[in-house]
Formats: sequence, structure tokens, C-alpha cells
Amino acid sequence: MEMIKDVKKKDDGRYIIFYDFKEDNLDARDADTPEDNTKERDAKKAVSEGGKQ
Amino acid sequence: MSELRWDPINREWVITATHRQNRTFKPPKDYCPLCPTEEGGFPTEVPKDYDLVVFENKFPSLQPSAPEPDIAGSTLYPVDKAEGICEVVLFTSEHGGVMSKEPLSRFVKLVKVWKDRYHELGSKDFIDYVFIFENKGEEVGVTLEHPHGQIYAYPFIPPKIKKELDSSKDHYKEQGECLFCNVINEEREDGRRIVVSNDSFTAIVPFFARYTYEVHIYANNHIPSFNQFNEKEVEDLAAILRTVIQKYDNLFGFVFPYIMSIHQQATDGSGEEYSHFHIEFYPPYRTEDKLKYLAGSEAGAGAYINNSLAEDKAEELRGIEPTGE
Repeated sequence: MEMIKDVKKKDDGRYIIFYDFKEDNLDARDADTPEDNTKERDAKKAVSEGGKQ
Repeated sequence: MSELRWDPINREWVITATHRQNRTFKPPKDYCPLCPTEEGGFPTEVPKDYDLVVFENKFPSLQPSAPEPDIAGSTLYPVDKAEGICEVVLFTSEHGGVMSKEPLSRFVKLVKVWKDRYHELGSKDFIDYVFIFENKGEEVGVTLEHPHGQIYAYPFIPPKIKKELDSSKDHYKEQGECLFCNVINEEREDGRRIVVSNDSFTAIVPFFARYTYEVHIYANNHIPSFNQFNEKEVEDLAAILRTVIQKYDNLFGFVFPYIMSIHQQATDGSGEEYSHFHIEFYPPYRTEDKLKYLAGSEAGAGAYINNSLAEDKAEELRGIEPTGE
């Protein structure tokens, strides 16, 4: 996802930066590839086993 | 008027910023200064519709061209200019936007903006630390409800962060390893306090949690700051951040308030080997309807008392579905 910055000055001299993005299909990928929950499963296992002593 | 006053007892700077007493306080929705200016409407901070925006705070605690201190210092009480930069980061143009309902792409955009600001502000000579944070919810003192965060670029390393960096520096000298790497490796090996993880990051309720639902997100590998993030790590941080916030909002069925602070390498050039990127969340709720207050022991003595166990709260948060519905 490419980021495009547009820096402007406000009337009182402060800067304001507009960030725009060239969208990709990230959200579609998000739906297809949920984050890795391996460690969460490991954690559940660890809990059921009482964890590391 | 703002200046730095040295506290010789606690050995830390205090920033005075008296002009902030007059900042905008809980305006009605139609007069939100963070919404885009509407045609014929009152002029807000942002003159047009936007995706994400950053601007200099109108009521800054620190300024690039800070005036000389108004009061004379002494050997015991040094004073200095409150030099620095304060920015506001607008997460969305939607006034009533709820981040847990936003798509992953909005979080990726936000992480990219944070990364850009860290790099740009940190490359200025007079900035020693770029602190990115979010105050969320009336319970933590938010005065504008529009989804936003802030960035304070300090001329010094703030005390809480200096303390943890000093600990890691000492640990590195003694063990030859980053303290935070050791912490996250132990947590990943143990597993009991893990909330969720992905290839690049792990969210835990820390062993030493001070708040009931405190969560820290650590980089799995030794990444000192945003400057070392690759594209995959940007996306993985966005994903785990969204999951943690969704779990928070689904915990009791309301938008969960918190203070979020991002800790990473100072921008004075020090500490690459012992700084480790992580995010800390301090939510004020200890139950569905009870808040934790910083009272006598916490505020007066600095000794936190947590009424819960990190292992139990991590298990509870693990069981909460990360959905934005």
C-alpha cells in the first residue's frame, strides 16, 4: 500500500499533513488469511498443562 | 507560556504549559475541531475531507521555537526552553468511528503514518525521543471524542522510558542480551500470559501487570524502532493491534478506554542494542463497572496494587472473540 504525503500550511503557520494511500486488496487478504494463532493455541495448551514450572 | 522545570528530588523535567488550560473541552459533535470542515460550516482544524491527517497541536506543551523560560532558574532549580513538537494524528474523518470496527487496511495506514512521523521527527537535532500515544475514553481524561492520537517529540528521554531503557542497558552490559528479548522469549516459552500472537508480534498480559487488563505487544525479534520495520512487520503490527482492540471492545460490550503508549529506541542515537519496540495498554476498568484509580500507594508511593492475576486475565482475554461486529 503506497503512501502519499501532502504537506500544507495552515493560516496560523502550523503544518498539516494529508496522508493518502493507494489501496491494495489488503482487506480481502485479511479475510482469507487470518493471523497466525499458533501461539494462542500453544498458550491454551500451556494453561491446561499448568504452564511452565 | 511553557517551560521545563527541573525536579532535583526525582531527577526529572516537568513541563509547564499554562495555555493548555484553555484548550477545547468536550465540544458538541457539530463543533468538533477534528472533523473535516463542511461547506458553510464552522472552520475546523482540517479544511477538507481526509483519510488520515497529522497536524501540529494548537495547544502544544512543546514547541519548535519555544520562548525562553519566564522564570529565572538556579543551581538547584535549572529551567530550560520547552522545545519540541506536539502533533495530533487523526485516525479517520468519521467523528463516531470505532477503530475495532475498521478494516485491517486502516490499521496498516495508521502504522505507516506512525512510522513516517517517528522517522521524520526523530531525525531533527533537538528531538531525543518521539513518543506516540493514544488517550481513549472519557475515563482517561479525553477532551475530544473524535478518534485520534498524539505524538510528543521531546528534547529529552521521558523518565518512565529512561528507567526501562536504563534497566535494559544494564542487563545488556551484564548478560550481553536485550532485556526485552529475554522477557518476550520467556513469555513465548511459558505461554500462560499470551493473549494472541502472529509471526512478528506477541501480545501478553505482563507478569508484573499494574492494571487488570494491561496488555503489552512486543516485537518477537529484536526490533529497536519503527525505523527497522519491514512491510510484513507493518502489516503484522496492524493485525495484532486490531485484534487486541477488538478483544477489548468485546470484553464488556462497550468501547474499552485505555492509554496506549509506544516505547522504542530514543532518537538521540543511543541504545540500538538494548531498545526493543513494544506497545503498552493501560485500561482503567478493573471490572465491567469499576475503575481503578491511582490512589495512595500508586500515586503517593509508586507501588502499584493489582487486584487480579496476569495469568487469569490473559486467559480471559484469549477467550474473547476478536470480531468487529
